[in-house]
Amino acid sequence: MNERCATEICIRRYRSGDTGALELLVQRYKKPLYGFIYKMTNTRIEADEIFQEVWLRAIRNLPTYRDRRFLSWLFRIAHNLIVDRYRKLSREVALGVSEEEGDTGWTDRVPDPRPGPAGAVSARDLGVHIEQAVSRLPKEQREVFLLRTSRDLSFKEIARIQRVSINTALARMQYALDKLRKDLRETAMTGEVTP
Amino acid sequence: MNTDQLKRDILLSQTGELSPRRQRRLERALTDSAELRAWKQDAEQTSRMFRTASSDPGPSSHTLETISQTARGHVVMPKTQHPAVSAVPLWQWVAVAALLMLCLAGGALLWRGESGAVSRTASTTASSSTAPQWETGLDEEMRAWSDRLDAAREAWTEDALADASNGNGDTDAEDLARELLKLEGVNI
Repeated sequence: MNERCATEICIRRYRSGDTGALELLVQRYKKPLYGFIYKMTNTRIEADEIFQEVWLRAIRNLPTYRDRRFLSWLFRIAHNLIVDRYRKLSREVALGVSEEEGDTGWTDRVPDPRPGPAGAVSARDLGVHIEQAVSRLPKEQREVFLLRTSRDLSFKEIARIQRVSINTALARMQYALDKLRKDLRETAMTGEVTP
Repeated sequence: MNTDQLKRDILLSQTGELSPRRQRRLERALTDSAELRAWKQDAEQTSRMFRTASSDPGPSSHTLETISQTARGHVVMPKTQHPAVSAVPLWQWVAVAALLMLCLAGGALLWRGESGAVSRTASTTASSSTAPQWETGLDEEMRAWSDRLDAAREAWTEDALADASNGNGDTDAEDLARELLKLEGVNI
């Protein structure tokens, strides 16, 4: 039985009143979904909140769910919630809420993924550096890169999630790869890491 | 075709979303351009490194528990039907509905037929008599009202005349009574 088939059976069972089937779906998709959200938000607290909200929305909408790819549907819900969160934070900055609190913008609330002086010495692992480089990418490019690289989604699906054309999604991926290569080369040259 | 477009075609070819015609063109371009080959290699290497290095943390147990509780508490509307309903096949429902419709239509036709016959009989009876029943009733009613009016008028006239002869009548009423009696041919 393939993954899609198993997912459809779980959805059917949940719709017919078996709430335990939803737990199976959560177990199946928690890693890729949470990983994506965490890499987009960079904080565990926010990632947990968004992950929970994704499932609550999914529970509400499952009785009318008609999509073909469940994970893609979950990513779309997550994308909308992440975008909403960024917008809300941007509005707070515009209204001066953050300045009153002594911040300069929402980016300050996200922990700086770059290693500190002590971290620069210890982070000799290329994996750590590449993860940090990805977290420094602009939000849209990071999202395309994550969905494509670690979630193996097609560009058609990514474009659908981001509500952009395939060409825009491709351009974002291209810029993300260019930036990552540049970043990693610079890191290698400064001697922080040897690829 | 420019380099950017060819780079995007490389990305599309990785997901199998590139058309065969463009795939062939891309292969030709890759053979010709060392820069493009290097970019393809870099892109693949970066993605591979990220996949290897990337670790996916999981959600907290508290978050998972909240989701489970919500799922358990959420009322799912089961699509199961009542046994009596689900036991009857759809075609039987349709047949029963059609039969009911036929009965209703037949009943309506019968009722219309009978009421038409009744109305026809009524109109025949009415045309054969001298006057319809309602008209006779109305005449009698009118005559009764007219008699009552005459009696009232006579009583009033007599009262008015009696008041006048006693010297305590209303002059206008007295004149009016005389006029009325004159009209009716009674000499005072």
